[in-house]
Amino acid sequence: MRKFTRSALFGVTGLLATSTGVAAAFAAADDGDVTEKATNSTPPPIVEDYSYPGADAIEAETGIKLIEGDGNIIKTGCDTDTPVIKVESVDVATSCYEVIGESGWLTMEIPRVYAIHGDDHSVDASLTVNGETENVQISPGEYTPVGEGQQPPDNDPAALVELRVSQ
Amino acid sequence: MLRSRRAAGIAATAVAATALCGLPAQAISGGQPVPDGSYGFLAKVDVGDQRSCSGALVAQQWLVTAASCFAEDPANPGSVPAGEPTTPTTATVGGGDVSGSSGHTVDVVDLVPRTDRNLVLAKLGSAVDGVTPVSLSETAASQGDTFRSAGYGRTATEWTPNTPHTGTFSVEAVGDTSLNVLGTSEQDSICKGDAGGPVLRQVNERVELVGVNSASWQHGCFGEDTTKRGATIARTDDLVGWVNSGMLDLTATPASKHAINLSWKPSNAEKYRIYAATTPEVPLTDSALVGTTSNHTYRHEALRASRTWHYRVAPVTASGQQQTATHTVTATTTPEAGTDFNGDGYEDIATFEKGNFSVSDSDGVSFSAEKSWNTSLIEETDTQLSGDFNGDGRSDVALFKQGESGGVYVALGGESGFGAFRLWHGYFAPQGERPAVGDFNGDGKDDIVTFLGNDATNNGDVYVSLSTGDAFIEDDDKWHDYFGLDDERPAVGDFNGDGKDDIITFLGNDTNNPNDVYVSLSTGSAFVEDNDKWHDYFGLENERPAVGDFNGDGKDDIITFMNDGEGGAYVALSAGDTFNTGSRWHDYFAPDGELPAVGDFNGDGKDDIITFRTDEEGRVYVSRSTGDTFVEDDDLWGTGVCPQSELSWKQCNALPASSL
Repeated sequence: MRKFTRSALFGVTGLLATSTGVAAAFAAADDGDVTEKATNSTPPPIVEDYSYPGADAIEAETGIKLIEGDGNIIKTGCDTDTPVIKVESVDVATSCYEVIGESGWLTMEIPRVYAIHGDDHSVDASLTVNGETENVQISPGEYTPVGEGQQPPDNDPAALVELRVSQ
Repeated sequence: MLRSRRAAGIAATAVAATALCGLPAQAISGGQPVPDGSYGFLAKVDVGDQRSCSGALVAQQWLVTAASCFAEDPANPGSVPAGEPTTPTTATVGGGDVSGSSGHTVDVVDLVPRTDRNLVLAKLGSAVDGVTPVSLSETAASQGDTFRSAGYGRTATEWTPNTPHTGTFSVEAVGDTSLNVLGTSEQDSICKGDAGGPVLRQVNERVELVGVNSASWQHGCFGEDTTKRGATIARTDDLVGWVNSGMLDLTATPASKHAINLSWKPSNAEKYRIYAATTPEVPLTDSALVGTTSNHTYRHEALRASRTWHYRVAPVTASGQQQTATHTVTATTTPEAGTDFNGDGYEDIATFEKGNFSVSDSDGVSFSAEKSWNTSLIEETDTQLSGDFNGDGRSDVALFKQGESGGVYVALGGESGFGAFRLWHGYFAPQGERPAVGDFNGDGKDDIVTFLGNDATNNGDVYVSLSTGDAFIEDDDKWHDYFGLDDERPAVGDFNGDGKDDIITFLGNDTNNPNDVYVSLSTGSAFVEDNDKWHDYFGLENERPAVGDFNGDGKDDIITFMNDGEGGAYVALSAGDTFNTGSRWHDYFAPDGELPAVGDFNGDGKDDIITFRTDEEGRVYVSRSTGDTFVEDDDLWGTGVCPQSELSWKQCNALPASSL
């Protein structure tokens, strides 16, 4: 049974405050008719399936493929005072992930990751190197080189496939 | 350095993208968390690890939620199977923070789905006390009405919140089974995880349920960038009767060979109509109406063995109005233990001679020509009995080698014949004991019993050996200390109709208690030793008593054949804890010298009587039961069965076993 434990949400609130300001600028630049009523066709189901919210848009925008999770690790902006997990890649932009509460997991595909910077949790990162999965422990606050960020001969390209924080 | 500079630039874009998604957002919810405890009926529904939804408690042990939560494809919620959810599911009821310990988390044990809309009624494993269920509105929605929707779904900023949120929505259109609604502000939206959450009308100080969240464009929900707004709601205002009948929680269980018990929860109905059919569709018509009762139970009687029945029950109000009927429940009567060797629902007959045995199949109106099986195993000192020892719905034959080894051999009955005799028990009912057959633990597989009678050291002991389906357990299991002595005539039957066979003894010419009849009921692991007299004058010394369910009520009755020149047959019906006085059911059947027996030869669920005349033609007569008498029509069902001149050992060894 999935058990969500979560103690604080203040970090997310901070993100919203930042985001809304930026978004307002986009809205103003549009035609004005931002939304439409849609009553003629059938809307999609609203069962929570734990697939990452808006994953397609994020992939199109950033090349980062977020797959699914328990909702307790979410992608966030890196420009924040909240402790975040920072993932650095040769191919795609650096991305940041916030852990809400004590535990969580998120599966993804981020190619050619060379370093992961820990937040204030102990994080298990799963990476695929030459078709095999390796687990790397990311200590709180530590910068941990992985994949091409390591010294030869251990510097084969690595793809990040999962972040997991256990209580 | 190069790497980090580039990375920083793109990171800024990522923030912008996140912001765009977050833009107009306040999901279900309009940013209004539910004050703790104010919507105590609100539930979070977790379908395994794969899905979550919301729901509303409508009775102490029942939720309504969305069918899509349980559908293989949530976009097609119309095909959710009724019954236990295929994925283990829990509901946390209480409307509070589900990460805390404030809610009641219970299993969802049963689903009653609608097929015309995205809604199921879900039964909880236990009642949720201390929570007031939401009441169902019977007032249809109108365009322009404003309702409040609640759920544990995503908000603008949270993926899996632990606390519920609400938002307000106005009705845009009213359909037969659904509503189209639109948030009263752009911030009000229904998001993933809100499926099944309650949609509520405020009526003065309280709220009433008008529907559950069904589908939504999810405008403004966390991570969504659609510009489409609006949602659909599955209506509940027209389902009040359906919900009430669903909560009747109708169940059907086989009671015995010939009866099925129905039971349901009490409601405020005046009475209930019971509809039954052998087809999965149960029409609510007079032809399918089998009974009406003001109780919460009903016993459907006089059914054929191994027959599947489907039921619906419709409550009727004091004013005579029939309410919505329940969904369909199904049960199958247990197999007939008697002599239905091929499992077609009609009991057959068999005869045993030196070196072979023969079966004549009943087709409901007569017996076919004999088919024979050779086996050198059959000897004069054997006792042959029948029963469904492996529980496959077909009766089998057991040979008790009483004269020799004391072994018990079984040949299993099949659709078109018998398997070979195989040893099922190494030593049971040796010479001097009286074996019999019955399903004493009610598991659908017939067991064996032996009455030791006036055995010198084990006076009156009764031993049972249970069937495992391919052997009898050899554990010397004594079920009664003192039953069926000396000249008494013990037998087996389900006299209280609980599906477990009991034992009976006819005392005959006993000096102290002449002509008494005692029954000892089975508990499933023993026979109750309480000296329970069920009749004080039945089965006299020279008569031939036997056991059968003559009125088909699932409780075995007793019959006695006068066994004199006059040939009368008397039946005393079981009331479940005693036999009635009895009355004459046939004026002239099986006079002195014939072999009378009992079986349901026409498969109508009521035991009939048969007599093997053992005359030169080997004639066999059957007199069918009508439920309160035997038809006196001299109905010849077969010939060539135990003709006098061909009898091995000068006697007819026939099944069904002849009366005592």
